Amino acid sequence: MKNILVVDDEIMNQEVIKKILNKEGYNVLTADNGQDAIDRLKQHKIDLILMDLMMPVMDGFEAIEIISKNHIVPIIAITALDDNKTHQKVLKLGAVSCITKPFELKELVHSVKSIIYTTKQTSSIQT
Amino acid sequence: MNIINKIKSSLHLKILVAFLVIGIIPYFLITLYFFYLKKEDLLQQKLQTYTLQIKQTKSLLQNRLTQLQEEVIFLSKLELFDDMISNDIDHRISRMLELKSKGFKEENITFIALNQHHIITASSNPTLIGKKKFLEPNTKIVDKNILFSTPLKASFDDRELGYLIALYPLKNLKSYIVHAKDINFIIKNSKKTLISSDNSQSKTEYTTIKTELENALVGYELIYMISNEKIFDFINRFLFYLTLLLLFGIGLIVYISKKLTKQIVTPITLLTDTAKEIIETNRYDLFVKSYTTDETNELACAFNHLIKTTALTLNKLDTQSNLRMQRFIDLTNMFNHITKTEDKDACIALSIKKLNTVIPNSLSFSKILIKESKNIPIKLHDFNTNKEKLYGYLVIDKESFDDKLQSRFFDSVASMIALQIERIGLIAKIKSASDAKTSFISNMSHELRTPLNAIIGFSQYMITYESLNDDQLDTISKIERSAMHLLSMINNILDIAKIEAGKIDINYSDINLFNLLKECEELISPMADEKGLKITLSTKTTQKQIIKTDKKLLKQVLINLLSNAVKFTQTGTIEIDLKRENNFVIITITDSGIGIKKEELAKVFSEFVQLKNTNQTKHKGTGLGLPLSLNIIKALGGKLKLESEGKGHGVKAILKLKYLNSHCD
Repeated sequence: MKNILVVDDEIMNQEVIKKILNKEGYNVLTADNGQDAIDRLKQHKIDLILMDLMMPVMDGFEAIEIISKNHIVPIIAITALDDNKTHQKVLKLGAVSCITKPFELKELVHSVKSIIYTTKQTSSIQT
Repeated sequence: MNIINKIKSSLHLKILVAFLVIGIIPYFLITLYFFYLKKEDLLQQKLQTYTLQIKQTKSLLQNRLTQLQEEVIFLSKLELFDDMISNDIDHRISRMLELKSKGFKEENITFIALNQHHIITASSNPTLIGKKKFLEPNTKIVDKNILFSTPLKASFDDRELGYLIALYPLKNLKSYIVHAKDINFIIKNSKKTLISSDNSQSKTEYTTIKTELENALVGYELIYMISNEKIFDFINRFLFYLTLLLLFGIGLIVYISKKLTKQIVTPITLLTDTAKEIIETNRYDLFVKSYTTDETNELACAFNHLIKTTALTLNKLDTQSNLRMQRFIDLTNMFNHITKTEDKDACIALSIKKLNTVIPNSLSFSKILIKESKNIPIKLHDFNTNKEKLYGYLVIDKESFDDKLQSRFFDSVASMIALQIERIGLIAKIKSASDAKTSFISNMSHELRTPLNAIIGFSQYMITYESLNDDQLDTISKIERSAMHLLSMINNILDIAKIEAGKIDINYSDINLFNLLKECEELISPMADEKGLKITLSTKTTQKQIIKTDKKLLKQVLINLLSNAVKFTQTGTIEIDLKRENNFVIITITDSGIGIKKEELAKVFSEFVQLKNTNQTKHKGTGLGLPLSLNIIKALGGKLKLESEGKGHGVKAILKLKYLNSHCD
C-alpha cells in the first residue's frame, strides 16, 4: 500500500482527496502546512506528496524547496493560483506536476496513478 | 456732367482749364471794355476829327466862293463895261473876260456879260456870244455851275447896263473833298444833290456829319457820310490782333500746361505706380526715383523714407512675432514635457527648469508666500469637496515683473502646472483603485475556488459509487454541474480582471490554425452531436496557415465561440471557415441559430449581459464568454465581431488575426 501525504490547510480539501485516493486503494496521510509535512516525512515513509501552496506557518513553495532538497519523493503541487508563473516556479523548485484547484476527480486520479507508476518503474530499475 | 467728372479726375485737365480761364478772362474784359464803354468815346473822338475836317472844308469852300463873288463885283466896277451901252458885241470885253478866265485856269470859270436885253455881249467863251440868256432871280445854280451875278452900272450915270456873270463849275468843288475810302461827300439841299463822291451808296451803315453852307450855296448842306467800318476800324483791328494773341496764348497755355502737368503728374504717377506695386507684391525694398528738384522730389524722398521705415517696422514686427512664436513653441514644448511627468515634485521641478530657459526670470517654487516677490498661486481643484486648494506659489522677482500681460501669462502657466498636478493625482488615484479592484477580484476568486474544490471533489467522488439509485445520482450530478458552472464563471471573472489589469500572460508560438480549428471542432462535436447539429470545417486556401499567437488563449476564444454557436442553434449546421485576406487570416463561425437583433449586436460584448431570449433557462452561461473573448483577441492584436441578419437568421462570428505575426521574428 502506497502512502500519499496530502498537505492542505483546509480540512475539507484534505478530506476530499483522502476519500478519492482511499477509494483508489492508497493510504492517505494529512498535514496542515509545510512544516507539518516535513515533520510527517520524518515519521513515515511517503511515496507521493500532494502539496497545496497557500498555507500558514510554512507555505507550499518553501516546503517543496526544502523537501526536494532533502528527500527523494515526488511532489504534485495543487493550487488555486491559476497562472503560468506559479506553475513554472513550482516545477523549478522540484515538483513533478502541478494541478489547478478545483481539480476534476479523473485528472487527480490520473496524475497520482501515473506518478506512482513511474516511480515504481524507476525504483525497480534502480534495484 | 461727364466732362466735369473727367476734369475732376484728371490733374492735367484741371490745370489746363485753370490756365485757360486765367488767359481768357482778360481778353473778355478788354473786349467788353472796348465794346460797351469805350465805343462811344472812340466814336465821339473820331467824329470830332471829321467835324473839324468838315468845318475846314466848308471854310475853304466858302472862302473860295466869296472870293469869286468879290472878283465878279470887282470886275463889274471896271469902266470898260460902259461900252455895253451900245448893246453891241464887244470884243474888248470878251478879250478881258477871256484873260480873266485864263487867270483861274483849271477852275474853268466862264464869265458872261449880259446886256439889258438878255443877250450875251461878251464872254470868256466865244461860242456863247450873241446867245440869249435869261437870268432867273435868286437862281444860284445853273447847268452844273454856280452862278455869280452882279449888275453892271454905267460909271457915269449909274445906268443899268446889264449883268456880269461868272459860272463856276460844280465839279470844281470836288477838289475840296477829302478823298478817302469809306467816306461819302455830298452837297445837297432837300430837293437836289449837287455833287457827291463816287463811292457807292449801297454800302453798309454810315454815320453822317452835316454843316450848312452859306452865300452862294445857301440852303445846301455839306454832308460827310462815314462808314461805320471806318470809324471802328481801329477797334476791329485791335480786337483782331487781340484774338490772334488769344489763339497764340491758348496754344502757349496748352503747351505750357501740358509740360507743367507732365512735370507734376509724372512723379505722382510714378509714386502711385510704386505704391500699387508695393501693395500687390509686398516688396518693401522698392523706392521711387526722382529726377526733379522741386516739391515732387521732396514727396518722393518722403515716400521713400516712409517705405523704408515701414520695411524696418515690418522686419521688426516679423522678428518679434518670430520671437513670440519661438517662445510659444518653447512653452508648448514645456507643457508637453510636463504632461509626461508622473510625480508632483518632478512636475514642479521640470516646470521651473523649463520656464527659466524660456523666460530668463529667476523663477522658483515655494510652498509658502515669499515677501517682496511676485507670488503666483497654484491652486488645485479638490474633486471630493469641489473646492480650490492651494498647492504652492510660483515666485518671480518683482523687478523683472511689472507687466499685466506677463501676469496673465504666468497665471496660465500656473493653472497648467495645477492641471498636471491634478492629473498626476487623479492617475495615481485611478491606478490604486484599479490595483485594489484587481487584487480584490483575484483574492476573491482564490477564496471561492477553495470551497468549490471540496464541492466538486466530493460530488465527483460520490458519483463514482455504484450503489447510488438514479435519483441520487441525478441530484449529485446537478450539484457537480452547478459547481462547475460557478467555477467557469469565477475563471472568466478572473481572466477579465487579469486582462483589464494588463496582467495576462501571452505565450507566443507558431500555431497551425487549421489544426487548431480541427482540435476545437473535435472538442465541441460531442455537444453538437447531442443536439443533432452538423459541424463543417472548410478552408479556401491550400497554404498552411501558421501564425504566431498564444495557443491556449486563442483556443479558449474559439471554444467559446463554437460553444455559443452550438448553444444557440437548435437545428441546422455550424460552419467553420478559414481564409486569407492580404495580411490577415479570417476565421468565420456561422451558425443557423436564433440570431441576434441588429440593435442588440453591440450589447453582447458587454460584461454580464446575456440577451433576453424567449427561453432564458435554455441558454445557460455566465454572460462573460463574449466579453472575455473580445478582450483576449484584442490582447492578441486581432479583431472580433458578430454579424447577424436579425432574429432567426443565425450569427456569423468573424475573427481577424494578423497573418504577418509568424514572420515578425
